[in-house]
Amino acid sequence: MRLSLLLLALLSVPSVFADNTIQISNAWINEAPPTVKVIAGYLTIKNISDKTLDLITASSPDFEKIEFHSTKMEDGIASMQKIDVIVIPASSEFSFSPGEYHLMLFNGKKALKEGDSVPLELTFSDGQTISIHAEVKRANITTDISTEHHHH
Amino acid sequence: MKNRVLTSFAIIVCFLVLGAGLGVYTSKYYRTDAAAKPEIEGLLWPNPKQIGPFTAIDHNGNPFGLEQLMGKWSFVFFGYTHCPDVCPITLSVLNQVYQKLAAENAVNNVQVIFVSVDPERDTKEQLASYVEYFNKEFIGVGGTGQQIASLGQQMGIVYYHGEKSSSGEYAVDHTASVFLIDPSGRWVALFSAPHQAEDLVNRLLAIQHFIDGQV
Repeated sequence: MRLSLLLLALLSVPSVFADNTIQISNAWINEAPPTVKVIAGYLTIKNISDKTLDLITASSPDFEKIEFHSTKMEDGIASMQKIDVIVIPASSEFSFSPGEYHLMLFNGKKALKEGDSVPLELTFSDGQTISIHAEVKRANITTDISTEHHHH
Repeated sequence: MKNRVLTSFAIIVCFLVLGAGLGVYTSKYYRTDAAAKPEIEGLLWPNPKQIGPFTAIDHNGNPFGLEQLMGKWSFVFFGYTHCPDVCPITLSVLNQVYQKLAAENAVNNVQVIFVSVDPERDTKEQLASYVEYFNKEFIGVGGTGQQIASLGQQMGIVYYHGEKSSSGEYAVDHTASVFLIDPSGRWVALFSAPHQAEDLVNRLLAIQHFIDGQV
């Protein structure tokens, strides 16, 4: 019992990977109705090195493929564009976040529910591959995309 | 030093008094002059467009047309279920709007309608599971490509289907604004993305108040 609680506590901590050059934080996947075949994932990558790093690929055993997409809003029309690589300049941060950039996760191999943990592998231009887990969440979008936090 | 503190204090007091005065003035202004268009972003007044008859099918397979818009305030959003980012965001926000209105007992005459611009993939079963996931009361609307195009045309909706990938996937670019139709079928407001629940609630209440005052 106690062990499972501890495990649960560990799982609920936002997955953070840190080495000398890259930190990944706040990785999550937006839970979707079971019939939806493409869903979105979000995370923040911090490049703490003094060189530009490119995020080249992302993959997961739970999905057929993963692409990087940006959402553009022009004249009220939303469109998605595939991006080949995500360029992260030295000492800067890149966020995949709702309405801006997302990981497009295609054809999930199993039904995912809030609380599930999805393994992701991210490969960077310097050759390193980082393994993280993204938590499946049911987004409370207001608090996620708003810069203001209202508490009543 | 003490003087400076006093001076800034006096300035702040001045601003507060001015602000309060302005507040009283504007609230009086709105109360006494119901005919003036209030400053609500997205309000289409004085010439809201009357929606004409249209035919479509709801997610239960029932006919959905202009009659289903009458007598209620309708938030209408166009999207598609294979849309991973903008559509779930917007429907989550609209769910929050619905919850907030429900908490204030102001939801009985409000409905949320999700119109699919992807008739090829969005069957009524697909639409049903999609809208009900966000809120059991939401209405999914589909139909033939022509039916959706004709409804979309009435509201100036733009959408185009992207190229199919080798695996048959495609994206659909689409208008991401939320439309507000009043109980007599008039398109009275257009809310541009990004949307915030509290803001949409406030704008809806202000518009309801204004339009009810026009009768």
